[in-house]
Amino acid sequence: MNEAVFVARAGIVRDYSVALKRAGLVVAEAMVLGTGYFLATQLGLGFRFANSQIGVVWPANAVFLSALLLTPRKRWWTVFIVIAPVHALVMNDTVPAWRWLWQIAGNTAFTMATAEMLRRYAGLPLHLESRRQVFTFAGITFVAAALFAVTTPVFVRSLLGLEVVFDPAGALLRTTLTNATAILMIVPVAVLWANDGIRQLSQAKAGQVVEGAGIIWSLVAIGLVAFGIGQEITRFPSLLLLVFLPLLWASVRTGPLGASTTVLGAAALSIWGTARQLGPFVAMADSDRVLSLHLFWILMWAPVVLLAAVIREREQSEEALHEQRNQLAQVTRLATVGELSGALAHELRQPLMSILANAQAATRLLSLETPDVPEVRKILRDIAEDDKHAAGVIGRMRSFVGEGPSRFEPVAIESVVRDALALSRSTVELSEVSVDSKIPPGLPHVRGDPVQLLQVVLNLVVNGCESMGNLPPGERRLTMHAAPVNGSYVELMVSDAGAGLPRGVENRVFDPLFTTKENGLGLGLSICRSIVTAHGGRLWAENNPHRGATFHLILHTESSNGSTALDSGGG
Amino acid sequence: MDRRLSIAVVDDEDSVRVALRRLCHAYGMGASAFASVEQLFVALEEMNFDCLVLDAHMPGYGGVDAQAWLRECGISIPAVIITGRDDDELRSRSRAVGAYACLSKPIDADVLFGAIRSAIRAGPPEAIAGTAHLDDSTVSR
Repeated sequence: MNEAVFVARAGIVRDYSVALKRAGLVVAEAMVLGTGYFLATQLGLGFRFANSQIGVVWPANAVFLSALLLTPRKRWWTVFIVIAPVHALVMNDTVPAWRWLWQIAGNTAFTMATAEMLRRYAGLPLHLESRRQVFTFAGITFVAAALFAVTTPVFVRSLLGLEVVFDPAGALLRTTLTNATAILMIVPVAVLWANDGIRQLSQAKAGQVVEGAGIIWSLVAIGLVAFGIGQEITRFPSLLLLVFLPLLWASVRTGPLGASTTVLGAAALSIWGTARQLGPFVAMADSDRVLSLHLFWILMWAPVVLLAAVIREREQSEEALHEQRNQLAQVTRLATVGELSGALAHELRQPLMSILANAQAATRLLSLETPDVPEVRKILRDIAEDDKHAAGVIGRMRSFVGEGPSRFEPVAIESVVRDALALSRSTVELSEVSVDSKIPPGLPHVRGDPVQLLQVVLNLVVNGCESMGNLPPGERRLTMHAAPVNGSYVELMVSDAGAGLPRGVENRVFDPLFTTKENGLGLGLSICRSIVTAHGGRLWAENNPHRGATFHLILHTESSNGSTALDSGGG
Repeated sequence: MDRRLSIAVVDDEDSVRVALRRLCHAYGMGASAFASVEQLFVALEEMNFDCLVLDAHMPGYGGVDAQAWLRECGISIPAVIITGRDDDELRSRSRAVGAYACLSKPIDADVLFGAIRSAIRAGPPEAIAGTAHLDDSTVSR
């Protein structure tokens, strides 16, 4: 077979199968929507109390609205062609045709207008992660539901005196609340689960699954007490507040998704109990019963969903802060490498020098009549060594400035100090400082980001060297000590013999933009302190009794339970 | 070459020291290598060198200090300073203490030996008035 034809055919087959899959997906979505809408109408029709034209809840419009919010406007028609026949089918038995046609037209106009207002004013996708979106969502829901209620057959006919009971105000209020509460309860759950919830669930860790199960268990257990079994709730009505335990738990720990889902669960339990003539809502007249259920749901929904939004807002601002700090740390690392570049060049020139001299010596040796082959072999071995040494210098620098995400892991202070001294080797040599590093072996590991901790220690070493520029070379000594503190900390001390810190304001050196260097930015120590603080540790400085200053760095050991701010910030 | 020249290489960096000594040997010169200025001074008690190749940056005393000190002690040997940095201040200091040239690493063999031969031809520092002899073309940049 001609290869081009074969490839083209394979392409057609592939396109065909993609189209088939897409069509299958559309059909599956349509079936989910149709079934959901059908169940919602059954629920709405099922839960109504005697003498009431209006159900306790009308979830069908909420399902309709969720579908519109999850569908691009171009494809809204697919939602209509699923929902209209289902509605007609369900309603044909109960109401005359003019009435369900009116309902379909009204419901469609209502949900489309609501979806459009939400898109424009609340912003899509709906995430309920900001107070603004929660307020806008709830506000639009109530306004739209009230406007819609004015156009429903129930209200219009009641107004015209065609209904059995003349109560247009009651009809208006109940239609509004029936639709609004259903939207508040159902739309966030449907939209959040469809947009992100299923993905989150598939990636949930074991601990999160256990916690979710705990929330569900406590919700059901408390729901049974509050809305169901026994007389406790009628004797002690305040037990109803127990419902807030699982709700707040979900709100604090699982965000808007868990919060709105548990609120829906609690609402479902309250309907279930009331329908079985149990719980706190049965001891009142029918209309009051419906109204108090609605009020209960709204009063439950608002604080719980708002709390979740406030917590998400705070988490997001913490994440943003964390991200900014990492970026600043990265920039100051680049600046540090810039400051060290002269010394790093010096460090690279040594192996380059010996490689060149060795190579030229070997070339010369090989041109002799009787080449000294063993000597040439030694030379080549040395060249390879020097090359690796140079690569090591570059590699250390690269990993120091590399833009990795901040990661927390067990870190040995010993290796941080060793890396810092390796990176600053030329700087230390060129400033003719002798470094005395007394790090006892076997110190407990600390927990942190190795690159950021290296940045801190490197900064302390380089600052220490620079502070002693005016001393005679023999007196330029930098001492590094480390010791465990209280079993749950490790302290590193870096002492120099320089001029010391300005008396009385020793810790101003940690202020941003404070600098004693001619061309320093003054960010080094301030970013070091913010790194250490984010690690849950401390960094401070003191003048030595005789001369110079000592910088103290205290960090949590890996095993101590010093939970760090960075951890929860998503680090 | 008429006479086997004897060079002293002083560099604290092991690999550089060894490589420079090898290079001198390969180019037919006698070479001794020292890790510090102190070691060189001890050797000078009983040895003579035609030229010194001194690293500028070493712990304790650097090449320029060494040359200045030797000159003060009345021992004058032609010298070439080698350095891992591009440093104009170092160049002028080397000039001031009578070193013939200040070369930046890595240094090509021809440049190094050119500078060494010129330094020997020019003679020990005292023999020259001022620093006018310094030929900037031997300074590798």
